[in-house]
Amino acid sequence: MIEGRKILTVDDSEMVRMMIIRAFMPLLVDVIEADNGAEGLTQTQQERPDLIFLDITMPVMDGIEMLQRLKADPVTQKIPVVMLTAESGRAHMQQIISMGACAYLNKPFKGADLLKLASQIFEEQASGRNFSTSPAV
Amino acid sequence: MPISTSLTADKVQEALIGAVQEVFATVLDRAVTADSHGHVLVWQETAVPSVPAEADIARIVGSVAFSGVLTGQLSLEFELPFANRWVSQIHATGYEAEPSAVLVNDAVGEIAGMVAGRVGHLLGNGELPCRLSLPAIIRGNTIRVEPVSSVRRFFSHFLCGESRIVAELFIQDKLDITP
Repeated sequence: MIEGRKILTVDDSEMVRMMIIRAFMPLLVDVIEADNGAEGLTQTQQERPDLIFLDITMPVMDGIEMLQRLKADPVTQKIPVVMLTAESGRAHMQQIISMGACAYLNKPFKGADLLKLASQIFEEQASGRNFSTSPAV
Repeated sequence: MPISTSLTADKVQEALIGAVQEVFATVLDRAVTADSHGHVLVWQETAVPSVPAEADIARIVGSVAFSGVLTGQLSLEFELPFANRWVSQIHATGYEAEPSAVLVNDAVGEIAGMVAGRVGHLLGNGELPCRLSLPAIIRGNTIRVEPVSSVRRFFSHFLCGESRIVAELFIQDKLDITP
């Protein structure tokens, strides 16, 4: 389900981008990178990824603004977005989901967590449903 | 129940230790143990050296401010050679090649942010908000991170193998934290 997919990781931390690349490397996934929201939007337009892992706190353009722009654009609004954050709080997470993210994952995360979540999202897509999670605490 | 009436000093200290251990286990697959010198609550308003004096070892500190469930700052201090090793591990650059300062700064800042976030998550049970600042990095040989007078300071020393890690938590002193 994951093999051959294209995933975009948008995070200002090279360490986090590397963790995501290494998690998907064995599955021959094409992982592309951006280090802020503005670059992430450009990459999204050019590369049309199947899934986006998006950090919240970034310079230039943060993840919230990038998410809003993705969801406002008919071309990109259906791309599933998973928000990655070290921040917490039920109201904040509910806000993120209500803005159109299909899930969020708290940092720190294991590579296995990413693979499991990506599999679930692609399975739901294949069955014609949109994956969405309620904020878990 | 407001968080300010339910926090105890033990709970804050427990969250700090738990957050450091969880982040290291998850990201670096490394176990860190709370050192016997450091996991006792320090409840003080005067500055003390945060690390036993080993001034010949270069150090790096990642510092992240947080607000929400608590307002304050988290600092995480590493011996630089140790930080170089685990950053090399993450980036698979090999132990022979020393990672660039940019890579090390990025990783130390990110790890500090994760620890700060986990402390907030643990103290707020994931329900209460914890927002984080971008990290700041400090390098030097004899670093002392000191609290201002309106701050309560918690710290824990950890050992990862033979390398020492110091986590310090500075919390705005407006909460009713039971000693």
